[in-house]
Amino acid sequence: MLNNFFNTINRLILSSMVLVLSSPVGAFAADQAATGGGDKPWWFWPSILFVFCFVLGVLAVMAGVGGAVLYVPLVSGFFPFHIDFVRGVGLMVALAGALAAGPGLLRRNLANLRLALPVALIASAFSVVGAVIGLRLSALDPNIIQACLGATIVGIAALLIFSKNSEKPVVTKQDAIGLALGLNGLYWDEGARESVEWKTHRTLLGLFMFIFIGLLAGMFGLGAGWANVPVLNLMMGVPLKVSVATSKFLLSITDTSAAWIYMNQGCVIPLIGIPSIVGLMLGSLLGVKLLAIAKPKMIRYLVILMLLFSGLKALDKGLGLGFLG
Amino acid sequence: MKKDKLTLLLVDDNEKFLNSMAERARMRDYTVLTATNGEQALEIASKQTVHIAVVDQQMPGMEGLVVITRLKAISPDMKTLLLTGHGDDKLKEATQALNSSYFDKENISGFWDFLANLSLGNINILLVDDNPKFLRTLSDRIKLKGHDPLTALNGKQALEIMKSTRVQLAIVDQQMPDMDGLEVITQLKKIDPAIKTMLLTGHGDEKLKEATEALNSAYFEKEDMGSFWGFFRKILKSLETSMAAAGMAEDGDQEDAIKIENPLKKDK
Repeated sequence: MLNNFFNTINRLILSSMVLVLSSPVGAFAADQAATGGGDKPWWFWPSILFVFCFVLGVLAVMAGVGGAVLYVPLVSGFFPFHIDFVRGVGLMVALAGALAAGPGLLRRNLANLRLALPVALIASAFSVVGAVIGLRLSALDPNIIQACLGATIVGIAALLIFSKNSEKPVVTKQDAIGLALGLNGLYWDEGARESVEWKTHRTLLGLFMFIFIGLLAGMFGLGAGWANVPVLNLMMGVPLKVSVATSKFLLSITDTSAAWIYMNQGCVIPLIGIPSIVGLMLGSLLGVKLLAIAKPKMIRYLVILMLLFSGLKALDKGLGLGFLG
Repeated sequence: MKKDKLTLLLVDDNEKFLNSMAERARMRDYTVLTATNGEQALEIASKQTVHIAVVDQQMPGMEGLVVITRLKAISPDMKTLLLTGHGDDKLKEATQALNSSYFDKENISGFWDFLANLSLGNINILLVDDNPKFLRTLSDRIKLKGHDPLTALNGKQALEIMKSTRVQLAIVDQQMPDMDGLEVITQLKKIDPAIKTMLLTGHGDEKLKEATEALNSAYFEKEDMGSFWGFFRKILKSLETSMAAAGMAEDGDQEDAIKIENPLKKDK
């Protein structure tokens, strides 16, 4: 009976996704924005945002795509909010997810502190720089940031389609920097019933990449799991589960630094932030229950398609081409 | 006795192998002592309590079987296991004659399974409940008491386990989809009349209590098991687990997310 219930919910989610894809909210929001959107009571947009974010939360978990990555382009594309507010809340959304996941991941010894701290130092410093640059660019002309965001989102969609993470990358020799920073560890693999030792290679290049990851995270408020995991896993040779857990923990440091800049500039509005964070977190709780029952691959492809579409839309809007309306 | 208080003594002259085994055993919550020869092992065992000793056969000075014989003389209750890379049937018989277990180093994964299932008190406990989370919680609590319980999600599974394994105590949920708890207890008692049984129910009444006691079985209501704060802690823990799983899933590791959320779910 429980399975039937979850299957029904699954079908509902798929249909909601089609609704999101066909962007009725966007069309409605665009109309509202065109007419000034002032004839609605104060609770109208927060309520729509809550429901929208709840569905996004479910989809993010089921598709394996970060909540903030979906949040920023979709909300900035389909809701009548200024992009600075959306980016500010995007960071808070990523931060809330990371802070909620952190204790469980640390307790299970999945997130590695020795790996996270040097990387976090670099990424958080540059996320502050990214946030400042992002707000400056937006002050010059919001279309610049919109176009950059669009290009980044299209790039993320391509990365999600083409990058294949490796569960246990082979690292034959640890490099000197990895050794000096003690970037190695051991975890118990229950499936294979063996302890797995890991160490990093190409550490300097990996750390260097976190400069860009930090800049992008701060500039667009996207979270950075989509970039952290490939760099840790494919470039530095950290096993997938350690990369993913460490990346999630890492976000709680990186995004905190950038979030301060947005908060200081008044870009985090509670009326947008609270329904978004609560909706996404409740959605991800439901998503994880559904994931334990069924994992339809189609959802991942549809979500990536949705991301690609919203990226192109942002690019179109930013460049003022007008192809996508 | 808590499992993390169990002391494991590892004896092997190959230090690399010894350290690797010690590391794995520590990951399984044993207190680990190591010795590189027989003399050292005997000295350790004479000074402190050792629950399980794992001894290599080929060592310079004193071979594994002699070490086991002398360890048993120091502490007759100690469980002993002989590990060897060059075993044969004669050695196996000689080991078993010492009431000790025998393992080939090539079958090391079997060794860890055996160690995990080694019942120090010789009591096998069977837990039967269709709610995997409750089953896990109960199983974890019993593990903290030093036992390694067997689990079944329904009556059919429970009866299959009972047919292949000697079970001393069965704790059975009343409401299950295939057969109810009273029926399971009746069937279990048919297989082994000596088995102790306990019925757990979330929706009990006097009649059910009488029916359970008529089967010479104990009766407990689930509500009695936890207080409000226990419930509160459980909710918080469950939220923490779900959020950790969601975090893993969002960043692309859905397999591990499923394992975190539902550890009892087997890989397909």
